[in-house]
Amino acid sequence: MAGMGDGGQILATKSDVYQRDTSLFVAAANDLKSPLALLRQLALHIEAGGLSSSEISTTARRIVLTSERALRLTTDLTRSTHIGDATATVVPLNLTALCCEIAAKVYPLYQANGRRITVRIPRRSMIGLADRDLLGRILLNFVDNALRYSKADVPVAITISRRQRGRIVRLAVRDYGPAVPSRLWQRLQQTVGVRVQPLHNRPASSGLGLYIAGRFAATMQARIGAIRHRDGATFYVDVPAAQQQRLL
Amino acid sequence: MIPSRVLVIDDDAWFADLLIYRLRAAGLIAAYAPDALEGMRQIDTDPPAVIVLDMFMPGVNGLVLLHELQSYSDLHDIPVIICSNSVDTLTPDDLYPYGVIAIFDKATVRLADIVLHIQRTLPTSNDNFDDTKVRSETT
Repeated sequence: MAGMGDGGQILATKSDVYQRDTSLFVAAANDLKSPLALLRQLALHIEAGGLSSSEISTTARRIVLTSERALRLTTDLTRSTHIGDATATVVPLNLTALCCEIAAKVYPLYQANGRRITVRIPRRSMIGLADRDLLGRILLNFVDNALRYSKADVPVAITISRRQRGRIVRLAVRDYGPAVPSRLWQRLQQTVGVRVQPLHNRPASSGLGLYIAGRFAATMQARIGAIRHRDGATFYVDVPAAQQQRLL
Repeated sequence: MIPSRVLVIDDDAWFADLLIYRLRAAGLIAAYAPDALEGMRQIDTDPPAVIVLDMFMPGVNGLVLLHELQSYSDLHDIPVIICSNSVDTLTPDDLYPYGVIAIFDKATVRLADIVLHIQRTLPTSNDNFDDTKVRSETT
């Protein structure tokens, strides 16, 4: 059922809204299925018995880390439904410190997966204007994603750099693994509205995490994007530099 | 009799760990490959008796590996068990021509069922005995 606005513009039909909502539900269900399935198997492993105390301890640790990762997605989903200009608290932030905090937060997860993560700290401190909670969630989304695609021998790197003559600060997460297939990336661009270069060789993904990250970024006048590499990808978020940063 | 070797190809290392634990507990030899390319390398080096394959992995996906297996006369008979989170999108009719003997949903499967399926698939001790070598040595 299409409606007409005052200016004669066709508004979204109920069918459009239903389809968009349904796509989100399906994407959320798919993204949560993987960690939930793993949690079940880990729990069954303990239930089956016959494990040494060390094996029980390792399995329990994996349950904790997997559930924390799944919970990050659910809290992001909840947060994204309440998102709006009024909810973003944009303040000057020490971006270097934030990146180090994020790396420290995911370090146990990376370590348990035999992966490494580093922060390439710039010489001067980087101050940007952003909502601390939302920017942290965006970065966590990127590093969670990078964990899946990175290789054990090369650490995932978080970098901080100035762009556009210091007007923008870019926080980037570089992984070293296969890239996203072009077709998938085109679909992500259409459904999510994220402007990125096509990437190759990544498995089917709902793109829900990027969709949420994009919404968080838009709320605080930031922008997310991605760069394709032959040996991986970089996901980044550009935030406005704080005035004091521009004067440096 | 040498235990049969099962190759688990899955990018989810923790899930693979659990399955390999169960396979070894059942007396089987289990090897692991985190992606399809490494899987193919191991299959070339030492063809397994059975492959347990995830479909959606970084880089080359499971379907490409199935295609690749079919193109080699010495590998196309290796039975493959699919174990994936995305089985809804997989149709058995499409996969069975690729040597797929079973499809399991990671969300609902009990690993003991996969082990049981593998044990039923494996050749019996007599089948496993390669008498061609004995014949060539005695002639």
